[in-house]
Parts: sequence; structure tokens; C-alpha cells
Amino acid sequence: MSDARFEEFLARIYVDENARAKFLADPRGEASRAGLTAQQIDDVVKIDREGLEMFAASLKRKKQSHG
Amino acid sequence: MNPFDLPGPQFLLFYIIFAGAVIGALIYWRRYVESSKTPKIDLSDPYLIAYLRGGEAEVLRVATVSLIDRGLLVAEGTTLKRAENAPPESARRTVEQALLKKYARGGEVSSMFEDDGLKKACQSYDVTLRRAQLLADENVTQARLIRLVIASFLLSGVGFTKVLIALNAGRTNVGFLVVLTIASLFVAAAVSFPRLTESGKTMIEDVQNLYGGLRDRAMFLAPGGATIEPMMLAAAFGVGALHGEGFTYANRLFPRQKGTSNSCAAADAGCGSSGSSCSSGSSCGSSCGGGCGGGCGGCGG
Amino acid sequence: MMMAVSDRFGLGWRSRLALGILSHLDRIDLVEVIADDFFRATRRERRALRTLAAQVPITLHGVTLGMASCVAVETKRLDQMARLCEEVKPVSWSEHLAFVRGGGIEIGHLAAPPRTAATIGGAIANLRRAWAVVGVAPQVENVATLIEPPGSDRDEAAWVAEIIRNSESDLLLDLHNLHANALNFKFDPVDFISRISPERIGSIHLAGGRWIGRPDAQRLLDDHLHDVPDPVYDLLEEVAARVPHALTVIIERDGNFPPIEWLIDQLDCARRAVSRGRSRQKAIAA
Repeated sequence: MSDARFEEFLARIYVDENARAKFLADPRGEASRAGLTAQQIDDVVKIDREGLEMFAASLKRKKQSHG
Repeated sequence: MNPFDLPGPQFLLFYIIFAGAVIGALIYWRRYVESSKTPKIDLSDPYLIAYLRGGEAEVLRVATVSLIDRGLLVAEGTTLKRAENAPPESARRTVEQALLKKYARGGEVSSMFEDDGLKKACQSYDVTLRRAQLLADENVTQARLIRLVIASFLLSGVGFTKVLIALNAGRTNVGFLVVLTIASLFVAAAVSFPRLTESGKTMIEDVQNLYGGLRDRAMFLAPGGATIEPMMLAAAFGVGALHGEGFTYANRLFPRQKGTSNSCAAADAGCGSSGSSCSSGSSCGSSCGGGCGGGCGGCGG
Repeated sequence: MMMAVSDRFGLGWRSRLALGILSHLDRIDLVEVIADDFFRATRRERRALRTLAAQVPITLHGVTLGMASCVAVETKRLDQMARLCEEVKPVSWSEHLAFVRGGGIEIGHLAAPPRTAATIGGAIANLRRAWAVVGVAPQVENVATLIEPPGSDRDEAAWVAEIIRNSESDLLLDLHNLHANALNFKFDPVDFISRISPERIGSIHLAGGRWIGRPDAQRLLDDHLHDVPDPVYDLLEEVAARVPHALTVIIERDGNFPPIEWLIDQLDCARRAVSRGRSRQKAIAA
């Protein structure tokens, strides 16, 4: 269950600009509010921010190109 | 209840329904038997595809446009003439060489459709397609004849039996039933021998589907003979599908006529789907974001 | 579905390339079709796919199942794949070691999941179910990623190898994905290859990409819009030098299409790379 919740959390910050912005402003808080485990919270606090922004931008471009 | 005991008007109604059912069964039976094959043919040969769709006339239209596009034929109004620098051997294909030879000194474009030499130049396509049973070969024709004989036996048997019964009973108002019986025989014959087999019909639809991307890009296909894309577009959908300024001569030379194969609505074949191999019916907005036949745009990242 | 007896080289089927592909079947051994394009296709469109399959062998490539997830793949999605496989009878089918949704949110692309025991278990379970529903085990593809998957407790090679070792699915090794990940996250792609059992590498994808991002923090994006770069052919040679059986090699190109002859030339480059690899294998064995 916690693993599924983690995937959901990742999906949200990948595709939802607002969710991502909130997360980047307060990663521990947002992760905690999403119900992640302590280990998962520690993991996302250390997230590859550069990669996250790039991936999110890539998803947005893809979505725009397909309408 | 014996239908032959029905009074005149009711029997006529019965016969109409009966004839409809027999003719419907005839069509369904033919389609079922003739649709089992998906043969392997050269789907990249525009002339083969054109022949399947509309016979010699379509091959000649596509070949003419191809030769004009490559500068080997020149069109002036409704006449064609071989270009100065284009001896017959300029073209590789038999039908192209035959066209160049025919129009060496010029002539009306319409004369190509009555030319026996040009028809002969298209014969190899006929052979290939009959062998693949996309056109009716001898075996297919024989099977169709047998089915027609059976259907005719039923139609004439029922119709003329009632006529005889009526005449024996002293009733002479059988004219309408006789006409109806004969008409049903004509209809049965008319639906029994289409040029294409059911496999042939579906092959055209499938080709139009596979090449739907060409039709979508029709406005952007460049003239000049650099690729065969315009020719395949014309072969699969008719010369009327060629758009763009470089091909305006095509519709002038071969104006669209109702009932001809000059457009997507080819004889014996429908237009197929909306054209692309991934029509609006499918979810191209996949999670991967893949387009219609457009791949997944990168596997991750 | 059939095992190849000799190396095969093919292209991804794209409608833009239809005429080019059908005109060069003497140099193209098979085509790869995106399965999801046909899940909700009309009867006529699926029939056209069967006609294509009668002209050239096809392999189906799924992109939306989300195999490498802790969440079970939805049965209806597996059923769609099963029905399409039944209709079209491809030589094989494949999917990705990725997750594509979470909690009802569609990501819209393939995302690398956290490399953990949980996702390994999830992937193995999903692959087993896919096998049961479709009737044939899919090959599974390593994905490119722009982001180091958070929550990972092992590297990509260990994660992929563990999944392959414990499932019936062979690896569809995407060498451009490997090349991109190796450059972006600084590991040795040849070391990756050496950690996968050669008998379990079934097919190969080749593609191209481009650099994106700030000049001081660029990453290679696998966009399928560019030519296959030389380092990827080098990796292909490495694989061919190790793998004892026939390989199926597919070039993926989704746009920015060059003339078909250019793509055929790239297939020939792939042929030469495999040939060099096979020669090395023979030399070692001799």
C-alpha cells in the first residue's frame, strides 16, 4: 500500500505543476501530508531536482504536442 | 401454411421477402467464401494497387500522372505528347513505355482508354491479382456460377410454380409475378459477379488504411518525381486525391465523374477508414503519449 | 510465437514510413507496431494490421501497461493486448519496465520506478499475469530516465537483472536508453551489459536523442527523433559478441523523418555492428 502511495506521489509531482512547486518548496512537509513512510520521505527529500524539472518539462512538451 | 395457397397480393409480398432472402444469402455466401484469404502481394507497386482498385483505366491514369510528374509526358489542355527528351526506354515499366510510345506524336488523353496495346500492357497486373484471388479467377467464377444456379433455381422455381398454379386455377393476372421473378433473376445475376472478390475489396480498404498517412499529407507531397508517394496516393485513392499546385493538371486531364474510379469511391470498394492506421477510434493519447502510428516518442526520459 | 533463427533487423512501423517500409521489405525483416494504437481501433483498422502482418512479420510493442509497478496491471489492459495478439499473431510482444500511472494519475510517459525489492516483486508478478492472460511472455524493455528514480536502493543493472532472472520474460535491451542513462548518471554501459545474462537478451532497440537542459547540467533525452549515434552501434557490437542466439534489432524513429534510404542505411550499420560482434564471438571461441 505504501509503495502504491509512493508511486502516486511521484506521478503527481511529475505531472502537476502546482503539486511539484509545493513539494519543492517544502519536500518533507508535502511528503508527510501525502502519507509517505519515514523512509520514503527521506528518499524524496533527496530527490534529483534537476532531473525532476527536466522530466516534468518533457512530459509537458509531450502533452502539448499531442493535444 | 403453404405459401402457394396465398392469394395474389399476399403471395407477391411473400415472394418479395423470399427473393430478398435468397439474394441476401447469395451475397453473404459469396462474401464468406471469398474473404478467407489475406495474400501477400507487393503493396509498394502503385500500378498493382491501381489495377486492383479500378482496372486498366486506373493504371493508365496513375501512369500518365507519373510520367507528367517526371517530365516524360507533357499535357496541353486535354492532349498529351511525349517530351522531347523522353524516348520510350526512359521509363522502366511496361505500361509507362507503352504510354510514351502511344503519345510519341501527341493525342487526346481520352484515347488511351480504348487502346488495346495499353490494355495489354496492364495484363500482368490482372494475372497477379487473379492468382492472389483478389480478382475473380476461374475457380472463383465457377463457384459463383454454381451459387447463382442454385439461387436461380429457387427464385424461378417458387415464382413460376405460383404462376402455373394461378393459370391452372383460371387466373390470368400473373404478369406482375412473372416480371418480379425475372427481375429477381437479373438482380441475383448482377450481385453474383463483382470484379473484386471479397478479399480484393478488403485489400483495397486495408491499403487505403495503411497509406492513410499519405492522404493526410496530400497537400504537402511534392511534385517532381523524387518519390513515388504522389503516385501511391493516386493509386490508392484516385488521382482526385492529389492536391497541391503541382498536380492541378491531374484533375483537368481526368475530371471526376460519378461512377468512375477516379476518386476514393472506387468501384466495388469503399473508401476504407478515415485513412490513418490509427483513426479516431483508438486512443492515441496513450500514457506514453504516442501519436497515431507515431510511436512513443522516446522510451522514458 | 516464433524464435528467430537468424538475426533480424527492422523498423518501427509509423504511418509516415508506410510506403518506404513496404517498398524495402527485401531489406527489412520485420516491423514493430505500437500495440496501444490498436486497442480501441475499428475492426477495419485491425484488419489492415492483419494485412500488414501478412506482408511482413510484426512484433507488438505496448506502452501503457505499466509493468514495473507495485500495483497490479489492470486486467482489461492485459485483455486488450491478448485480443490484439490473438488477431494479429505477432512474432512476439513487448512492454516496458516502467510505471505510467499512480493513484489514477496518468503520467503520459514511461517513468522509471524506484529500484527496490517492491518494484521487482511487482514487475515479476505483472509479467507472470501478462504471460497467463496473453499466453506468451512479453519481452521487457529498460527505459531511459531523466530523473534518478527516488527511493532506489540498487542500481539499474541489478534491478533489471533481478527481474529478468526471476521471470519468463527476456530483455528487450534498448541500447540508446542504456547509453543515455549511462551518460546522464555516470555508469559504464558495457558493465551493465555484462551483468545481464546473455541468454536472456532477446531483442534490441536502437534510437537517437538530443541533449537538453542548461549548458552546465545537460542530459541526453531519448526522443526517437535523431539518428542512432555511433556509441550505440558500439554497444550493439558488444551485445552481439556475447549473445549466443539470434537477435532481433529494431530502429525506432518517431519523427523528423529522413528519407527511407537513410533509415535503411542505419539498419545496415546495425547489421555490420552485429556482424563484427559475432566475429569477435567466434574468434574467442576458436
